[in-house]
Amino acid sequence: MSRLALGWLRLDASRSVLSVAGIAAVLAVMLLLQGVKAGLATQLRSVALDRGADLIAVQPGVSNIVGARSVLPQLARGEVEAVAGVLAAEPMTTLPLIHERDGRRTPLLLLIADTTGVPRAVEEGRVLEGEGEILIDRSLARIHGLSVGEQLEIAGYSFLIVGVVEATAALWTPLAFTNYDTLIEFYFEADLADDLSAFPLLGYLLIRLDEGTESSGVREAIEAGVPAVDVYGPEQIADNDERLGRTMLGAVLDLLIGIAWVVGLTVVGLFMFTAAEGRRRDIGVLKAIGFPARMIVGGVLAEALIVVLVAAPAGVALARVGAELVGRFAPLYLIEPLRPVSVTLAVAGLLAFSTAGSVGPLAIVRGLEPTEVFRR
Amino acid sequence: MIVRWAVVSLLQARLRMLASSLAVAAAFTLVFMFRAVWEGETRQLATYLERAGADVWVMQAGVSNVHMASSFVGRAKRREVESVEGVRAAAAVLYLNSMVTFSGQRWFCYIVGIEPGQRLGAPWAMAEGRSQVQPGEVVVPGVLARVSGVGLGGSVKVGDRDLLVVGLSEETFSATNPVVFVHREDLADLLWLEGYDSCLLVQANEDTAPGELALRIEAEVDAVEAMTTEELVESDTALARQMGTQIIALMTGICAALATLLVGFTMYVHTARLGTELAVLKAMGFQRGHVYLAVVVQSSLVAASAFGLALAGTAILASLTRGLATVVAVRLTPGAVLEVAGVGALVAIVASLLLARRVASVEPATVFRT
Repeated sequence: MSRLALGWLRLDASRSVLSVAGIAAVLAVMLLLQGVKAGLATQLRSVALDRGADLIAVQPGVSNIVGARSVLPQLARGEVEAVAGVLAAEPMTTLPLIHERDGRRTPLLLLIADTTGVPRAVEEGRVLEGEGEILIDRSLARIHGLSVGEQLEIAGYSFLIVGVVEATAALWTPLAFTNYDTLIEFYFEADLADDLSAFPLLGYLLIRLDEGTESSGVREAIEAGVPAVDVYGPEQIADNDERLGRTMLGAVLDLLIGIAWVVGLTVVGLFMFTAAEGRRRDIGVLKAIGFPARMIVGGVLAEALIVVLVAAPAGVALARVGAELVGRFAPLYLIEPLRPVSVTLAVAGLLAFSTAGSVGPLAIVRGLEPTEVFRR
Repeated sequence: MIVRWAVVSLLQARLRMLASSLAVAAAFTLVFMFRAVWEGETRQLATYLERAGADVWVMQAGVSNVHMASSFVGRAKRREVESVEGVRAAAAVLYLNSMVTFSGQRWFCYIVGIEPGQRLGAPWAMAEGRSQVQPGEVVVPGVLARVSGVGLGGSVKVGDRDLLVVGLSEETFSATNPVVFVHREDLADLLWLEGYDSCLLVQANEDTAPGELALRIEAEVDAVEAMTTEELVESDTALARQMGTQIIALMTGICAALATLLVGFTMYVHTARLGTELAVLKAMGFQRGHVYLAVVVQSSLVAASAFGLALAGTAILASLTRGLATVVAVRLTPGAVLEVAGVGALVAIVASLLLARRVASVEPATVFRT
């Protein structure tokens, strides 16, 4: 049966290649969409996890960094640092802003910190050193054609771009980083408002612990001794930020992924149906010269199996290439298409639907008169 | 004559053509649904701005969005704005994008702080309960109440405080940004913010055009940005669209490539079966250009029928989505239909070109071999 299938595949190599390419493309589309959701979660998690803190203090009732506004009293820092086991509590503030250039507006999340919290490595340029400087995410640089040494203007204030960092976007919003000296200068010089008391100065405390200190004990001690803050581990905030993404876009993405799967699997079934139906005459000839039906059915199934098995690695490779191209040309979106569960489910689905699609035309062939195949 | 032959030969393989058209239609449907969901959600974001009752929005200088932005306007500005000629009424709201917990489930919401008795900026349509809130109370979207099981008399958590649900509003839900209404003081406490509003909602006198009033407010009141509702809606939807433009374009490209491959495959299988007929055409003296034309016509017919099927499929899917997944807004615009039609035309042409070599290689002598 496999010889028969291979024979059919070799008989019209171009058609076989098109079948493999089509099914690989369908698999790639399914994996890429699944990858958008996975990438969104990874980006959201990294906002908390990449800050380099053992614990993060937030305003009571706030438990996120992304999509949240946390304001802490200035005195909270000293109170937290006085708790046994706390090595340092570094301040961090977030500020949602919109950058506009040439009529194109991009929301960005400005993250302000002095030591802990800002990236220590850059893809291009250097890290923050002085006043007026900013690090921007690669996606923001690409969207607006910005590079190191240029100015980034927001609300009439010009930041000097000293570095471009990689993979620091979240919720399809790029992050940018600056220090507190720059924040103060920005507040005073930008066209924000008459009175600046509404703008946050201290939003979070990035807490580092003494070596060997158990974080849960310190967390309880801080919450007991400093009522102005709630304390979370970075993992908890990352979980909350990921949940935020799921809440905001989960239903939309799940709907699109669901439709893509239904559409993708249907396409594969119809694809194989068309391919097998196109072989109707060949199958009819085999029937006419006495090939047993079992062997013909086996041949058709083997052909579907071979096509899917060849298409699967091609589809995975295509999805990977697609994700890398997106990363290069639209770095705002992280696509992680190669989660084992997604790949396994998609390939299993393709096998099932391609088999079903191939077997369909056999019913037509069953009713075919042997003489009919010799007519044109 | 060649066109007639192209149509007739295509119709002779009706079953295969139907299967192929369905497959291509599925790829187009995917593109339509991407656009419809994105457009639906984007438009839903602007509903509050459109229905809040304001002609002009006054915000912090330099701020021209509500979506993804924050704005702070000193309380004293309200009196200044009210004294501008042409202002019939003005009201202030405080707003915040933040998490609201509904029976353990956290939703990212626009939290709007209003004062009792305020009409501008308050809920405009109620499913149940009242639209006005006292301290400690909240009005939530009816859809969210249904999804979370928190109804009137239940409580939701905003920041670190539990608020009593006193009203279920309509038209205030979107999957990405539902709108909840709380008392202004509750939100000011949460923000640790005294003496500020986020924006002022202004109604113009009947004889005053909103655009004219916005300009007048900017001229007479320092450090504010004034926009008509129309401008603000346009600005917010454009921002939301821009955030997703690249990903939608990428997905459209990927699906278009898939559709091209499917049309190409269909036509390949079809022309393989018609090899002898193509040879006869060539033997009869038809030029290569005629044969190409036949293939282009057939590809276009497959793409066009797939496009029609996709439109029908999208309409069915959209109505199913509205019925089953009430949390997702779906909206297909004529612009999106035209864009996908353009993609479909491109697909047909590219798929035809893929076959050009095969068609060109058909030898007239083939007809005598079978």
